[in-house]
Amino acid sequence: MIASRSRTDPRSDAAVGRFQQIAASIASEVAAVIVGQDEVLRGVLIALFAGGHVLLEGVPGVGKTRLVRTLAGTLALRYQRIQFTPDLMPADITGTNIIAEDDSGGRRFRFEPGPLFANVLLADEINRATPKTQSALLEAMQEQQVTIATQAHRLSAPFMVLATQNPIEMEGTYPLPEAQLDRFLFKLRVTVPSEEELVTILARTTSEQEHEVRRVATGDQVLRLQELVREVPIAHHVLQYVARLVQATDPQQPNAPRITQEYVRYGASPRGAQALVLAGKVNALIEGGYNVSFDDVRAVAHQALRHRIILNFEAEAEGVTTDDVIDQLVMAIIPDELAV
Amino acid sequence: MKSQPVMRNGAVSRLARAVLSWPRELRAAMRAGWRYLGAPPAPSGPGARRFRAAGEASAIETALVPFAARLRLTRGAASFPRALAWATGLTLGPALLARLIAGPLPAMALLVLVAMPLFAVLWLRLALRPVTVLEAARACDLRLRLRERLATAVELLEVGATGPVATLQLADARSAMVGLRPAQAFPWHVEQRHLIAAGVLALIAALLIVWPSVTSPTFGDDVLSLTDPLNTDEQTADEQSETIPGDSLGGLTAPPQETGQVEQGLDTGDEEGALSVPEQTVSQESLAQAQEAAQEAADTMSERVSARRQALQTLGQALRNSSAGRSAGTMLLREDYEAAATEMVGMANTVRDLNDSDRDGLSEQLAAAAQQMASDDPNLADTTQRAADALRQYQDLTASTALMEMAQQTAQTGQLAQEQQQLAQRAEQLREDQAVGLPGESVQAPGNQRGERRALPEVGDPTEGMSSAQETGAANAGQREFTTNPAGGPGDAEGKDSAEGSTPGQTIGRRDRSRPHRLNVTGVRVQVAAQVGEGRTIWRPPQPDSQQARRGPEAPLPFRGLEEAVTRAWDPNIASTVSGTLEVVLRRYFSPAAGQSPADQPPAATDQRSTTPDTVPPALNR
Repeated sequence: MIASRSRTDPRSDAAVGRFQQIAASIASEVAAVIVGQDEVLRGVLIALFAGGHVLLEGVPGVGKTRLVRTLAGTLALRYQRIQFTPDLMPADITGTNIIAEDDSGGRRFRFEPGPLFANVLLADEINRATPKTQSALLEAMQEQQVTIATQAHRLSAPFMVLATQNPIEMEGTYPLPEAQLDRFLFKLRVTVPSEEELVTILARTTSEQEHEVRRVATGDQVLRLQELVREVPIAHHVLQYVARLVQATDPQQPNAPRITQEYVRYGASPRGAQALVLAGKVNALIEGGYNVSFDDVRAVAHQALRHRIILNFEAEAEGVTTDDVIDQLVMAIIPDELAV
Repeated sequence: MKSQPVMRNGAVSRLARAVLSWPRELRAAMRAGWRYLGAPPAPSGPGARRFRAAGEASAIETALVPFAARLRLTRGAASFPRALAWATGLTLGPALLARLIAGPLPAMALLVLVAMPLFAVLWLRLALRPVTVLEAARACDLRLRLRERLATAVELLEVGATGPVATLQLADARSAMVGLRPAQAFPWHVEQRHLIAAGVLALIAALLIVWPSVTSPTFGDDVLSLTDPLNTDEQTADEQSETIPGDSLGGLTAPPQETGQVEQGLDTGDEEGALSVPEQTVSQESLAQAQEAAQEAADTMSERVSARRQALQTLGQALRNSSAGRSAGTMLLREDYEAAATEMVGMANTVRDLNDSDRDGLSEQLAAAAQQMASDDPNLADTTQRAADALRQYQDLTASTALMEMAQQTAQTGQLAQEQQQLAQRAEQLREDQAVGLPGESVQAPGNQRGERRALPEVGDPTEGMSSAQETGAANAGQREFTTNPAGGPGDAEGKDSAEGSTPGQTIGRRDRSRPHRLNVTGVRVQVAAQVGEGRTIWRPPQPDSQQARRGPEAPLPFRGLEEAVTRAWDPNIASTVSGTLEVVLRRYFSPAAGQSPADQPPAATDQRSTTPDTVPPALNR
């Protein structure tokens, strides 16, 4: 699935080689369970190594939860699942202080961590919980800690939230606020499988034998790979391109493209630019490169920006999607104005 | 053979694309500034420096040297046609502007001499700008699709980055450059559309340079061309009917069918025509009559010109009240009709640029002026009304045409006013001549009237008349020569006209095509030779049963030397329409009833037909 870039003089040291090996192993294990969804799996891997969180959006039954569970199975990490419901309270996620009796018979408050204290957290149907509960994830996702009363509790690294939501069932749901959406590195769309993929899914899931997912990476390995990703160099003019691309999503900018001015209400935040760079670095490593190119940035632009661009009423009325806007922006923004 | 249409279509489409791309190029040039000409500013950031010497440079930098040299050459070549196209376009701009506004046409050669060296300096400066290390690396990345390997490596080298990934990246960049050639990265390339644009613009510039100087399309030329005396056939009936007294003084000319042989005379000396009166043998009375006729003609002309001037004053006031026509109105109120006409032409050319408020204001003012001057100058009022209507209905072409016509009529009035002034001067001169002559005494002694002589009733000094005609750019003053038969007995009123040496009515002189326009004619001079017998000459009307009388009023009028000399005297245009009033005035002068009060004069039409061939004007029979 992950094709290496053809190179005349391939070189790799242990770290980079290990990165590519682990990424390929994870992808292979997940692909043994999940049929198709290559782009989704690639996005999840990029988010994993970039240290980000993923919002998976798709209709029920396309394998969102199974994908996350399988991914967690490939990693020797603590996995938790929270089924978000309207009556779910923040304390149900973060945990709370309870009165406990110590050995001497005295009673004192003791923090009982919630399911949030995991390495891989599946927030299933996150938009069914109230915004109050959804907001309980904000601090954890950004700062990887939870503050209860006056005490901050550090989450164990690596920490990754994979949330799912149903795009068509709007009744009784609470759309994620922009601040919550911005915490996700990627928003991935899980599509309906094709006929051929569906046949394969049926064959795999209705037989006696099921693939036993094996663990191919530990938490420490993931952390080292995340550090390696940050060492990937990126040229100054590529950073400028990322900045121009993100600024082009802001309709308040004086030189914003026409499609932005017409259809965008709010553009991407600087966190979106950080996501582009980090994801671009991971993409470069996965592709076998050692620096971020314009193509690497473009490859992750949709996943990193689509949930950060808020469209206006005209866009909704005319059926313009955020992916359409991003397509136009990628074409409109010239990566390198150097005329040769 | 089948490929030819395809080739043609391809060329046409390329040309069309090149032309259609110019607006885009213009926008790009406005955005990019000097970068548009092919040499962008050197990129900033780590590595934006010149190349070091071979010993001090890294392997990647050394490998980039030939690429940088090649880049500079190809960049200069690529920017050449584009710069040439723009330099040519900038050269064309002032020239085209000068053509459009009919301003002083700049010397195209001078423009070229200024623009081309400027272009050369600019282009060389751009083409010779050194290429930095970072710029070369980025250009190679872009052209060879190296995924920003080289630029990243150059930056890593500049900042001295270390680490496993940086080491791998540098090694990766070095390996990527192995086997690459500068020509592969930067082949010679010139965009065809820039070549086409440069070629087309250069061709236009060359045409403009070699094109003979075009006279500025001012209004005056149009008017002059319409009334060119050398092309009288082009004169329209409207123009002829527009001829006002001053002009139609010569228009007393009988129509061609009535003049008979006079046309021959016209052919030989038509434009020399001027008002002819007998000279020297004419008494003071005849001189007074001539003066009276001229004065009456001037008065009549003055009335009509005054009416038209009044109409133009009304129009000027209206234009003055509108923002779009203020300058034209000011000129009209100052009676600077030529400048006003020029302003109107300018208005006509910019009708489509008028905004709504200016358009409405101008339309209202013109409509009001048209109503006010309907009695003074119906033609101008009609034209003004058409202009107002067209402006109101946004019919720019019609409005422009109407404004042009208004400008023509304005200039025509200006010329007529000038003629009126000259005619008044002529009448004044006649008065002065009358005051100098002896009352009741002929200019020449009666005894000298015997024999054949030329009678040149000097209305003014011929030399003076000629010179004044030349000074005013007028048509030629001429002389017309007649003789009366010396064999005629005393008192023989039927002294026959016989041509002596020339055909009766034949004018002396030749058409001088180098002379200025006839509308500026001021000279009114005719030389008439008449034969006068001794004693009192009594004019007798023809007998009722005579042959001429029986022919009736519709019979063609044979040539009558003196009469024809007078009627043909003024206007060289044979097709001119004669004003009835002036016809009466001048015909009275040569009629048998001369000396009677105007009220006693018979109507002009009957007078003309009752004139018999053997009629001798009383002025000549004294």
